[in-house]
Amino acid sequence: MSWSLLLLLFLLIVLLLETPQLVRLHSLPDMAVFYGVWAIAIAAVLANMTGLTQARPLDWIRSFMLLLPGGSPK
Amino acid sequence: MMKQTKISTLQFTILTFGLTVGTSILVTPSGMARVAREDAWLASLCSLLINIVMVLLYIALSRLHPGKSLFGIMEMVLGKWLGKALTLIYLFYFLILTGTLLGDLGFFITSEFMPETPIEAIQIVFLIAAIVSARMGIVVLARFGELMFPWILLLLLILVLTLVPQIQWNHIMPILEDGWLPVLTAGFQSAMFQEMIVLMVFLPLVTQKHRGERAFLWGTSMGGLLLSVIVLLSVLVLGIEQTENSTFPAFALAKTINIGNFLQRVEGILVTIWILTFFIKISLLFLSLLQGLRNVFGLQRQNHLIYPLAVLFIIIAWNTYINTVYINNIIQQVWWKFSFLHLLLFPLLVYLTAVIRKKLVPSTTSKSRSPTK
Amino acid sequence: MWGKKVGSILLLISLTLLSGCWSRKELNELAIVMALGIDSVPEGYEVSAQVMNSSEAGGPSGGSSGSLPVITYKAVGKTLPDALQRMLSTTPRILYLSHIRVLVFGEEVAREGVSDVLDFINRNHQLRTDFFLLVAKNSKASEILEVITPFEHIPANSLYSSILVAHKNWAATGKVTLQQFIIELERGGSNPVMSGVQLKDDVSEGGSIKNLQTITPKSLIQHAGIAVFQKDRLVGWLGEASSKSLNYVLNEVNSTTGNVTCEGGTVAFLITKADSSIDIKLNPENEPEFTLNLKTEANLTAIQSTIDLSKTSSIENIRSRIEKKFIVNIKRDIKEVQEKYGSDIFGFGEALHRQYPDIWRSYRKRWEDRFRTVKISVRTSVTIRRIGSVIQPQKRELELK
Repeated sequence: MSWSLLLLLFLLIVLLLETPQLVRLHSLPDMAVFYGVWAIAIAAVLANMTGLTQARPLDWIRSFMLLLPGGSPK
Repeated sequence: MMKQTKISTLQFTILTFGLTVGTSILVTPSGMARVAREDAWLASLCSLLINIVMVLLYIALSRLHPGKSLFGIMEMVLGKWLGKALTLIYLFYFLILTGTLLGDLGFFITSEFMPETPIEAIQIVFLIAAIVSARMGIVVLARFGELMFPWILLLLLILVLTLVPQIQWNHIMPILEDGWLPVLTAGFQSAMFQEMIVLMVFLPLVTQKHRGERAFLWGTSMGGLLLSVIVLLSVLVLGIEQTENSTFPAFALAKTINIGNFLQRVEGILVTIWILTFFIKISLLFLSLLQGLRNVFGLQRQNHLIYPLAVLFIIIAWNTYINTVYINNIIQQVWWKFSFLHLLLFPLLVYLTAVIRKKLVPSTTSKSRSPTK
Repeated sequence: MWGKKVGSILLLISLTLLSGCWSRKELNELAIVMALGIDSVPEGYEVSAQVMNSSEAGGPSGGSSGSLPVITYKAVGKTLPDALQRMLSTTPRILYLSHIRVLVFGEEVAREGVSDVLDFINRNHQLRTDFFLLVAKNSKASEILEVITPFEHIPANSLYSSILVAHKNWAATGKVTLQQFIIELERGGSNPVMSGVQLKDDVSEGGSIKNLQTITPKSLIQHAGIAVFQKDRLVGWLGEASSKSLNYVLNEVNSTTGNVTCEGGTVAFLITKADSSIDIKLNPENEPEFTLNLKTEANLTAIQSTIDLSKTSSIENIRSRIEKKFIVNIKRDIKEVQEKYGSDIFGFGEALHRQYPDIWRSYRKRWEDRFRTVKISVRTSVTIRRIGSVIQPQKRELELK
């Protein structure tokens, strides 16, 4: 059972169901943000599916913290 | 859209309590026992004090611009663009936090209870509940908290009372063997795991402001006190060696309950406590994420975003909880510092900026009576 | 509105019925393991699992179809999970470990070190921490698990109950749960112990129904004192008297009997209360000296002499003899453990840690050696409460007639 495929399916369904409501709102920020987040979600699922190790947020945080003074591990 | 968005003080207290206790109740004892050894209970009391100081800071911050949520305040103090930028940083923090918590829950359930169930299934079911809660909004969540609170208390009472016969008092001796430093270090690090700042998003919704502030403090204190009790019991009953070596010390604690060989093996029922507090915490984070996005981008409706956000949560959960060793390492070394930025450093900077601005430009203060954006 | 109600009721019903479905284990798919035995073999470990035979265990003795209430399976593997997995080739069901009552180590395995076994037990989420740990004296663990016991259908339960009963009333055995063992093992200032068991009499008939069909069972499981560990290795055994002393020091005596000689014979007493504590004093060179304080209350249960119990001086006499006996015996036993094994199973090191943490810091590294030479004295106080339903001893009554 591929969970990522399930998520993709879910995202697709959400897109289809929400778009009409969004269009009705006539609000550009709403649509933009929705599609933006949606796109990030799709990207995340795809990245997960391909097993890319770059997509580990905790690693980003760790590298970021190393840049700061006092951020290196004890 | 914003129907009835008022929370009673009791509800706010319960929400604060739930957030404070949340996930920490399950895992904090082991980290503290590692650093502070027998004085872990002192460390957790320190943690409580530090949390209270943090809350006082938040309250002071909210008083500068009354009626505004966290994000509103940031925009008012730092100006529109800087405020939005800072909000986005916070939203990123909340996002990663939620994903990690979701992963934590899945991990707990699958490693202790249902190992054959795939972790994704558990996370998805939980997420569905969180989605429903996010759609319903904060008021429904607050009522849910009010409903569940007596049960949580009852189960906690059972947990604590049934463990009393197994206490061995000399487990906490010697006191202050290595001095205060490990205690303070452990306390400080552990204080960074209670993200009370999330409640700043909802503080303005409480009906009476003064009572809201008191509820904030009460909830934090109760939650912190509970955590201290659990840490104390952990050390008294299990001893420090087992506490620091357990992945879920509170659960190991529940497993030892045995009254007259009759009341035993009840840890399954006690898991309810944790599931409920987890749920409150994750729902609060979810709602504050939505609120934040709404504030930054000026959205009219936020419910659309629930679904893609939920997917993001679960992806993050899969990518952070790779295995226990990885996550333990990161949490011990990196996370508390990262949290420190958001929970203490940034709010302090914002507060100072606000105070300085007020001193420089005294006329701006009278304008802010507009409700939360 | 109505649709919502129906929907939510359906949801609730499916919640109650479906939760945990993915991880379901039907009861008739499980083989409930009541006791585990671990032995050492060249290839690794031999694991014996005493599994409850549910069709027989509930009924009256013997069993209707002649089969026994438990079955013991054995398998060999390099690690414990390996061996347990291999057992599945002979068992008709999956092994379920949460109900284990006792875990028996063969003496050989105990001497080699039990850390690896403990690692598996701790890590496994099915195993809890409330079962007893035992060492099979001079035998393999599997032999202990192959004996049918009278009274209790399931030998593991019988063993469990007998440990509880013996510990409460006799105090010459240990009652060590996994939790206790690990705490004492990992603490710097103490070494753990385990209770010992051995088989009495003829072993060959032990595994069959024939064992229960004579008035004196052919083979019985017997308690065999306490096994002394140095860290995670078995180093020696304590006999009946030394085990009692150990339990006194560890404050684990509930009630026990003893006897003491007095003029004209022997007096038996029953200890009804025993409290012990360890005091530490520093001598002029800043070295710790330990004092064990023991406070007990006793009843006299049998007077096999002609002493005159109407006089308080007699009671006083008996009391001081009991006190002296305690001091002599406990001191002797502690010294024996000190010199022979050098293993601080009494917890003196931990007491030092608690009372003088700074000094402990310098002693901690070589506590094993220091323990051998450290000075330990014993102080007791005995209070005799009751002497039973009659006053003068029988023998005395006879003599005076």
